[in-house]
Amino acid sequence: MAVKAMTDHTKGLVVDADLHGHENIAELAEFCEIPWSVALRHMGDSPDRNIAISPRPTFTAPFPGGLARAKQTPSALQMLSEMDTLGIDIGILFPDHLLSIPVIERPDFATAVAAAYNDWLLSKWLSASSRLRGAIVVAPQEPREAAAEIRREAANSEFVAICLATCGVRPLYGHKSYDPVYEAACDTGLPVVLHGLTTVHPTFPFQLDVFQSEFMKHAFAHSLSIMANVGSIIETGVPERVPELRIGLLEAGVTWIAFAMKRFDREYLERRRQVPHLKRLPSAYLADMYVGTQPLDLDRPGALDGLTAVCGHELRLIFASDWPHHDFDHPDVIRRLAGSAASRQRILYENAYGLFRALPKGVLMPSRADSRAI
Amino acid sequence: MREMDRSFVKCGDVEVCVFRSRGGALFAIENVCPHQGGPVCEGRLSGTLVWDDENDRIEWTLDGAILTCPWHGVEFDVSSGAALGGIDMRLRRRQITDDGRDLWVGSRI
Repeated sequence: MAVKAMTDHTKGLVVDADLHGHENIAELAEFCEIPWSVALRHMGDSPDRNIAISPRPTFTAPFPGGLARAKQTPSALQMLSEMDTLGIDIGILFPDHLLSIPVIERPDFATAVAAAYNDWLLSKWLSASSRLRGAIVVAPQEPREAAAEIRREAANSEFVAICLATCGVRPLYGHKSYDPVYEAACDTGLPVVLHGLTTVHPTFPFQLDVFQSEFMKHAFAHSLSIMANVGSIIETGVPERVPELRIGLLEAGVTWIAFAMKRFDREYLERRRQVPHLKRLPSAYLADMYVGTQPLDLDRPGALDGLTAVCGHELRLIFASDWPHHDFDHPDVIRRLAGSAASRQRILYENAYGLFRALPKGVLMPSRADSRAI
Repeated sequence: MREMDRSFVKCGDVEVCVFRSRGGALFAIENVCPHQGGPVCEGRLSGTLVWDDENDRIEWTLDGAILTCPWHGVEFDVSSGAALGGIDMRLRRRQITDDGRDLWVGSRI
């Protein structure tokens, strides 16, 4: 008979808002409609063609050296094992290469491959464990088709969010053409989660060919693309048009929030009449949104509480690791940067339950279920 | 004073402006913007834009009742002193009495 300690598990739980499962092109083909299934099968025949699903131009020099670790997790079982190592109980899966879906030039291909991804994710990953939940990927090129895709997949409780990739998206997500997507989100109880990415594209803020290396492209693209889309969402009054909509923001870090809140409020003081549909300060709308912490751009102990003080709002921060990507954050970083136990619990666990639809409760990684709180 | 006229008076160290708005109502307001201390009473007295939810369009309203600070453009409703659009600022208003011959500016409301 094993002797085990009784533990209040809720105090140590970690929900990760941002994991990336790598799409297997050949497998996706099985879930895709003709003719695009044929195209995916052909792509899958050649490993080098994987990149073709995300037409991401590479203009930077091939600098020698650097990270040797593989930055892809190709299966649910491997992801669960890696979550055990990192100390993550529940993780929300976002796509890997398919984060580039907004820049795919053929809208019908983008829509078809998004649907294939969702069915593939449900079949190959989300059914493997209740510790893995998913975000429905949609192609913003066709908002009405995207809304239909949300309604189709939302019946599956394994999906807890809708992924809106910001990569090269045009128009920005405040545009009224996306209202069918937001209405479908509200009708199904799902939040929309904007996810940043780096690419080079003629749409603001992705004209990054002005830089010589990924060093500076990457520093700007993720954060600016989230800021641009949040600015658009506030400018056009999405929170007033669709007040029930829950919005999450991933992979922009956290320090931009202070800039955006203060700058947007400052502009609003002078130019309120240009946006008379707004009823509150821009910072109040932003404070209602949930912001993923990765890549954490603060370093001093307790700094997250300092950020809250600067912003003048209680921020809805949610832990996001971005595993297995090169710039992932370990949950221990939150434990160091959040000043109080209550703050840590909100970021690592509680706020995720406010954002995502019906996350399972009482689901723990095996080691925690077995023994002790961390 | 005619409608839409304004007149400044010194009350101790504080400059106060008396407005007669469209419709004839009188308002006395201290000439210090709560935002950054600008001469708010020197700003334009006009109307503003609001959103017409019912018809889903922009609408011009409150013509003659909105004071816009000339420094940064913060808009205030002179009848209440409140800033528009959820901005947590308020003009300092004074009591105003018309005895038929003169206008008398009193203490803060």
